[in-house]
Order: sequence, then C-alpha cells, then structure tokens
Amino acid sequence: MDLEDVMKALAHAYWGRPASDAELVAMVGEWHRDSSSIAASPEGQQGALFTVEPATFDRILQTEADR
Amino acid sequence: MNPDNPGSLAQAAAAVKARRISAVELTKAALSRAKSSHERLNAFIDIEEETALQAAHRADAALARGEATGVLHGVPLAHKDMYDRKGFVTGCGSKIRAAHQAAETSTVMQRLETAGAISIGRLNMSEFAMGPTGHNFHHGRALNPIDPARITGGSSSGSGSAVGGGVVLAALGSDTGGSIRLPAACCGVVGIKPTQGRVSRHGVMPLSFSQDCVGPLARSVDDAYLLLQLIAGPDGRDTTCVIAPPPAALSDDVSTLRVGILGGLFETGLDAVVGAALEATGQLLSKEVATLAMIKGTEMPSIAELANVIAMAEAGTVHFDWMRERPEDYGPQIRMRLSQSLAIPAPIYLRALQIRATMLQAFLDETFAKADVLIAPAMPFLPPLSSEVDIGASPKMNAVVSGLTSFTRPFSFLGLPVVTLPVAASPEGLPIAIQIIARPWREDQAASVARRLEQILALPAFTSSLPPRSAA
Repeated sequence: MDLEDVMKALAHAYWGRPASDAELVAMVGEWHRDSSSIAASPEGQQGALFTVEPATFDRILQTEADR
Repeated sequence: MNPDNPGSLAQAAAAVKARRISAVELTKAALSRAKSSHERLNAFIDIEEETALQAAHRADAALARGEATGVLHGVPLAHKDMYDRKGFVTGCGSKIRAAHQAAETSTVMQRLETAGAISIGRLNMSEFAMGPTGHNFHHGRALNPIDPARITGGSSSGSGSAVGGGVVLAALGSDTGGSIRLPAACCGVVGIKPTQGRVSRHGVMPLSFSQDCVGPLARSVDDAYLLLQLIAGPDGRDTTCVIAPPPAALSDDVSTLRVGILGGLFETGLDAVVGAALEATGQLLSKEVATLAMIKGTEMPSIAELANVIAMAEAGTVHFDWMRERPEDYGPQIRMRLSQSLAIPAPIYLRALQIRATMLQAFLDETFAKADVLIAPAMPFLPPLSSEVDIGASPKMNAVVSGLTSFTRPFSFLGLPVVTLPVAASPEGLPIAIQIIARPWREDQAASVARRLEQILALPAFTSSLPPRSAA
C-alpha cells in the first residue's frame, strides 16, 4: 500500500467519504513535511522530550505573569 | 469635528462627550464610507445600518441623560465576521455559517459595547480565518486600499482594508499565525497580537485552540493599545484566559529598554528594500533606547511547520463534522488545508506541543536575556500581487502560506505579544512593516517602542484620502 492509498483509507475511515485529489495531495505533502521536520526535530533527540508535558507551555506563561 | 476625519478613537469619543459632534453624525458618516467604499475595498460582508443608527441614537440619548461613561461612547467601529453578538449573524466568512445567529454575545464585543462603541457591520475575512492572503471563495477578497492589485493579507482582510481605507478608526481581528499582523503590514496600519491567553475567546470563532488570539488593528499605536486594554483580561468564561497583570500604560521613555534585531531565520530571503528599511529603523531607534544589538543565530529549526501542525490538527478537529458531512460547502483551498489534519498522527501533534514548551523556555532564557524587546520584519517582501498568490487548491498552496507567514508564525508558536507597524514606504508607495516582540504580558514595552517609532518616523498616510497617521 503506498502513501496515497493510506491517505485514501484514512479519509474513508474517518470522514466516511473518498478524499478529493486536492485533499490527497495536501495530506501526502503534510505527511512528508512532518516526517522530515517534526519527527526528526533536533529539539527532540535522545529522549530530550521524555518528561515534557505539553501543558508546560501554559505553566511558563503563568510563571511569566507572576514575575 | 469633521465626521469623516475623527482623528483618533480618543478624539472621537471626546468630541461626542463634549457634544461637538453626535454619535449619530459620526455613525452616519462611517456608514456612508462603508457603503461608498464597497467597490474600492469590499471590506464588509454586511453593513448593519439600521441597528447601528439605533445604537447611535441610544448613545446620544444616554449622553443627554448624563449616562455616557464609556471611553468609546458613540464611536463607530466594525469587526471581523467572527465575534458573536446576540441576535446577529456570525458568518466566519463562510458558506457553512453564513446564516448562523449567535445566542449570546462574545466577551470582546460585550466589553466594547460596555465602552460605548457602536458596530456598523461585519468585516470580510478569509473563510474560517484560514488564509494569509485574504482571498475568500464565497465573498471575494477585500481590496488593499493602497494598491487594489495587491493582497490585503489575511485572515483579517476586511479589518486591514477598512482601517487602512479610512472607513473606521479601528477594528478587531484575530491572529493564529499572522492574521492580524499580515493585514496590518499589507494595509499600512498598526496591529497587535497579544500574549496567548491575554484576551478571552468566549463567543469567538475557534480555529486553533493553542494559537488563536483576538487583537486590534488601528491607525495608530495609541488607538490599537486602547482597544487592547478594553478587551484584555479574564472573564471566567474562557478558561484559557490567564490571570495576569493588565496591559500597563504606555511609556514615553524607552531609553532604558534594550532592543535586539533578530537575525538568522529573520534574514532569510529578505527583499533588499525590506532589509534597508529594517536597518534604517534600527539606526533611528538606536538613539532612543539603551542598547540596540543584532541577535544572531535565531534559527528556530522547523518552527513554521511546528506551528502549522498545531494549527492544522486543531482546525481539523474544529471542522471535523463538516469535513465529513458537507465538504463541498468549503472553498477549495480551505477544504484542502483542513484535509491536512488527517495526515498528522497524534504523537506528531503532541510532539509539536512539547517542542513549543521547550522552545519558549529557551527563547525566554537566551534571547530575552539579551534584549527586552525584539524586532523582525513582518514579511520578507512587499505585499504581493493578488495574482501571484491566488492559488486556490493548487499544490503550491503550502509554499504560499508558509512563505507569507514565515516571520509571523514563530511568535504565534511561542505565544509572544507582537506589535506590527509600518516603518517605511517602498519606492512604489507600499508599506514596509516590522514586528516588535516582547516577553509574555509585556505588550506595553513593545507598544511603547512602537509609539516612539511612530512619533519619530511620522510617516504620511499610505492612502491619499486619509488624514496623516501622525494626526491620530
């Protein structure tokens, strides 16, 4: 199954409809960008994000508010 | 007072209060401008003449009874089509919500109404606030008041057009990746994207829970900041709105502030004319502040894609039902962009949020250790021609979106407050704008520097039919 087929399957499974050609192009493009930039991000190597909760961002803003 | 040249928000409100002009006169003039500018600007989706005049009459009657206490009493404004007002349509620039009538009033609109402001209509916007060019498949694009062949920027396209085109003194927009800053930059006005969590989003159309901000566009820093002060602060109805010190008063003295000009990412692909304007601005500002230094190495790898993943994953969640049930009712580009959400695995979305936290802490610890406020261009280039970026659902869509937002998205991702203002005109008369970025909750520092720049630059108006910006 190639990547476009995966995207077609996702659209069927989640939207209950076929994806249009433009949607497939966008989905495949997103997949490629994310796999190369976010999956391999230098910010997250060797377990650097192991203990980071996404809510840490809100805590930082609150800490700044209390400065 | 000339109702077609009310100067600033404060001057307009003072004139109403002193009865040098009535709210009805001011509102009639604004409505007339809104109607007569339709072909020139296409800034309005709906002009609410009857209800605006009724509100103006009520404002004048209240004044006669001595009950006018709001700081914007009787001043006509208009806002992006995404803020609920009970009994009015909030269309979100879309077909899907075109007839949606709000059951209650959003906090931001409630606060402006309490201040006495009058709404004269709903402003054009990119469909569901998705689109940095300002194109709208359903309503047509708002036109840039400086050069109609150029984009207004988006998504707050009508806000930029109406304010830049002199229809209203100020308007609310929203910003998820640059949607206040880009229209401000393209239309030659001031825009403020507040700190994430500064302004309640209760009753506001959602796009990306993590990055949506409500903020003003106006013809001067003072006017924009006044609106921010009016709408800021928790309301108990938006749990993401942070309890923080309110926006402090602006300072005339910026001599103690350290200013950094961001290099690295923000030097990438810079047009020569934009680079020259930034350099000239830095030279001027260096005489006003404690220090001004170049901050090298601001690379922030993949930050635009990180911001995009969060925005698209969250937008895909917001729009999930309609993408299942009525995808044909979206414009082609919006449908294409929303579809990206299905290709984002949950760990990638959450990883982007993890990286957001670590990048913010690093930025505070390292970059803000060197400077109190930072400066970067708003865009790498001049406002593009509409024809260059009207790409619909073409595969070029992502390149156009990421190109336009490459300098704005990083600060949405980091949740930082930003003031955007024009600092120069290109040889063809197009605005060149910068972003002034501050630590979280220090909109006052960014706006104080912006106001000082506004004073020393004293740029003429970008559109000939308007009073000088320095008059405001």
